[in-house]
Amino acid sequence: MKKVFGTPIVEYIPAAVLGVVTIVFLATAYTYPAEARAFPAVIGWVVIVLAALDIVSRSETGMGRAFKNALNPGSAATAATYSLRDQAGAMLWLAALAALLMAVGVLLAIPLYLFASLRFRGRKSLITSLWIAAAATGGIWLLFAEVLRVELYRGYFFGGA
Amino acid sequence: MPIAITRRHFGCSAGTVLSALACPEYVSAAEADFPRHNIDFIIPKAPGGGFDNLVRVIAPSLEKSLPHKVSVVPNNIPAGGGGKGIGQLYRSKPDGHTLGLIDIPGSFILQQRQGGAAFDLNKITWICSMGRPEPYCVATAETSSLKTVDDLRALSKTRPVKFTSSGPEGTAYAATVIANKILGIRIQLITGYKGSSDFVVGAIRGDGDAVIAPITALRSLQKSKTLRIIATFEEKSSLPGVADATSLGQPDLGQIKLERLVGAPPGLPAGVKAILASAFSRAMGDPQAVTLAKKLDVELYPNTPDQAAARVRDSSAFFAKWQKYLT
Amino acid sequence: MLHLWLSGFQTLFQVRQLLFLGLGMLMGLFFGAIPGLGGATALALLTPLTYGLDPFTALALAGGVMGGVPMGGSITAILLNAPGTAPSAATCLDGHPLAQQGKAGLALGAAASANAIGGIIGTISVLAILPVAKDLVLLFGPPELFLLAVLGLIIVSTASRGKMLRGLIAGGLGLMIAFIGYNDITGVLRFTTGIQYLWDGVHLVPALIGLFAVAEMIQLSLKGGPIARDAGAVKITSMASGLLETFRHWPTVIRGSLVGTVVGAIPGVGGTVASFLSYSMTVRASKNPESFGKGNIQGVIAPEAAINAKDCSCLIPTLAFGIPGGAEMAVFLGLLVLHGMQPGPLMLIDHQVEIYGLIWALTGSCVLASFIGLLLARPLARLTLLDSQILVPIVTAVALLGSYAVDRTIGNVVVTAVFGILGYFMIRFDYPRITMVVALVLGSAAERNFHQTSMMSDGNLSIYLHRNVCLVLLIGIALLLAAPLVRRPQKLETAP
Repeated sequence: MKKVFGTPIVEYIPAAVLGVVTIVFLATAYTYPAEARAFPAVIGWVVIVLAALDIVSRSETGMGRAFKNALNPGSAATAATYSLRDQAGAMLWLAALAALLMAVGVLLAIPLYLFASLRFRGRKSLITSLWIAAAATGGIWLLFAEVLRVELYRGYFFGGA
Repeated sequence: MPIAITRRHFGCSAGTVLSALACPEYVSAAEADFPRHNIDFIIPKAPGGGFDNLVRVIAPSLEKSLPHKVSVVPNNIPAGGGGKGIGQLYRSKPDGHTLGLIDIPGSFILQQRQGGAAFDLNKITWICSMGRPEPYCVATAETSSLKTVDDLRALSKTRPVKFTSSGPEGTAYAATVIANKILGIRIQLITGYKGSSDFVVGAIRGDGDAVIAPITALRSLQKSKTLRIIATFEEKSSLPGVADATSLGQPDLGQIKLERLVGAPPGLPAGVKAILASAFSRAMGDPQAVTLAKKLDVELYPNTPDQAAARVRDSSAFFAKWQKYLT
Repeated sequence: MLHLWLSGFQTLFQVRQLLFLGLGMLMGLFFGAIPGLGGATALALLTPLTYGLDPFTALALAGGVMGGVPMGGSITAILLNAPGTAPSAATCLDGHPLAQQGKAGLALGAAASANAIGGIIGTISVLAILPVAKDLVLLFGPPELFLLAVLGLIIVSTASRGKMLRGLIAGGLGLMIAFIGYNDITGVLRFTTGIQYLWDGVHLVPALIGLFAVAEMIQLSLKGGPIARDAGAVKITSMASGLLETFRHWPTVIRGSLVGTVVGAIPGVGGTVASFLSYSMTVRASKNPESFGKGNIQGVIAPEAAINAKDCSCLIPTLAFGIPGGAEMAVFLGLLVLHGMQPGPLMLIDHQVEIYGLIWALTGSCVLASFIGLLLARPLARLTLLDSQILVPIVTAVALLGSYAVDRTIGNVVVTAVFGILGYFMIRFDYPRITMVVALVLGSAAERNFHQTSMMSDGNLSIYLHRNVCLVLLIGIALLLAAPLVRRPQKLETAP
């Protein structure tokens, strides 16, 4: 992986993203009346400084090492890493479940997601996948809809608001 | 409200497709067997105040008074000064399964402050009033040296008198501003408390000098000698020895009242409205509700949808006069 | 006084009351264990069923629920890193690493005993302070609450010593998120980008389910295999030693219980702060702060003791002034109203026997729940041996659904998913989540109380010096900030 100042470029991404988000946050804050923006503005500026320090402290330069020792001596080098593809995959499955729940509601999204996840991601047999998906959906329906009387979300396409 | 209309229109057409019925038939079918499932009773206020108590007192009796057995589920949505709860009520399907308890005139102020994007109170279907229109009172902590309205006036000559209150929405805020204009007291508000219990406790604690709140929020605190009511805005005081609008020479104060009205989404079918109105009327006469209300110092006040709508009009007209001080 | 304690106790000691207490406890245990449900849902479900019951039985049932919830919450926090309730998120920090090491039994044993002892100490403290409860509640106004929030944030960010910079960044981000929504002071809607869901801000429970449970499921799905890394080494039988651990670390239990009692009694602060504060204070006091987060048993004991201790003291602001500390107390308030009990200073006088009965019910339920929790530990710990390819989709689905069920809002699902991804990246890039959680909880309260204080004092900051409680808090803050300067410099990690 490409390195900048002796550190893989990916290590700088979180602080950089946070910096950008904070700039947008600050720009929005300054559209509010003085009293409503006082706290957000102070915190926003502080976070920008902290994000800058974080970027510097992650570099393998003299200053970077000094900052790290002063402010972050206990920080581990990054935790176990996985391939970008695997990580994106894991998040896509999660996003798909959330999107399904919103679109078609609980009682369709849950069995679909469970079955697909078990069959195509977990590579379980067709019977196992069907069995677990059906049992889990049944359990969820029993608990939420019957016992708790929580009206299960019907999904945007079926009249859910 | 383009969003609201689109959503409702969408809900209706989805129903049409599914049941292969035209919209009007879909609605009238709903009327026949109302209520079909639990009723969501939105309380756009934090738990623990007068609003919350009223709904919880009436819910069991309302369940008994409806033609079919369903639960009435109180649902506190205090966010956005109550705007979120009222917005949610406004956008719900107008089938009677979503109701809300709305404070008037506070909600008109809220609607104006929030740009009217979320709801339009003039289109809400009013079912009935729930509590008697409640007068406001001025109170100070029992330990305070401010014991009369004249004491407050005297203090206001040296510095603004500090009143604890809710955020700029809400009837309590409006009542505080208007009453002090009428009484000629200079004020500074300490805002941001979460609900009436919270800002009344603020006054007891000494965060501010005084508080203006509905009478039921103050009565039990006076009984426990935690707080002293120094004036009520009733025409004739219901509390012995306490100054009222008449003795203060300000009859206009009597018009500062809190109305708690049951509302349903716009476009509620007349049949469903009638079923709900009669259920509420029966529920408010139910001995169980009456006993419970008495224990909690809440006064139930049944009236008709037309009377409720008239109260909304009167109240909003009075507060419109004072609008320039409120926004 | 004593006769009131006894008559409260007597009202509880009847077959009917005990039966409902046990029933409530079992429900609490179950609802506590499912992320997103918790005591508020259980009480909301039970409230209509109490119409026909006398007030004493209804309170025994409610006390049973509230006492059982924390133990349930800890079980899933330890086994699945899925906090059943918001306060038990603090138990995840060390409880789950223990489960990963195959020491789920040890963690559950310690949690159960810390729960029970915390509950008992909490009860004793509350019984002692109930007569002065009203004055205690009135001690904490906006200036005190602002300083308390600052103190909490400082304790937590300095607890992650060695990672202070990243802790502060996570806290800063948490504060930025906490500012989203309707501002009570000015009536301005901030950072909502037109989304009405955000008027109320980002809801805490869905965010916590995301940060802990969903983030963990993302990790697990990438890692593969069961939760317990070394399946062969799983020791579910070490519960007895877990029980003993609590007694061995008695200062941690006492500290946790006292933190829980005090924080619980302060109106509007709530249990999440209590458990995280207790955790952070234990880390600060420890000789090996770096062992926390990796499976230190004290990291389980500290929050657990606080959670149960606060359960009792939370009742104080709720009963004395009708100011609930959290969702559970808010629903409980509704139950009181249904039985004709109006919270307020008069309630502390008019309904003393009921209140003492309730406190005993809470305590009894919490001890009972710990016992049941221990019985269940062994079979439940087997969850950590389950194949992740089956576990991950089911837990993810239940987590998202639980977050929906919090207040039946579909927007919660999105919050949980987003925070799940955020939580994963925070683990991946080594940012502590604990400062973010505390900032999320305290952010808007700190802002509101600061502005209210300014309104009270016309912007004069000397108000903080003229109030006794403020002075104590200021001294605390000063000591905390000075401590790193006095302490011997920490051994620095040499760069690899």
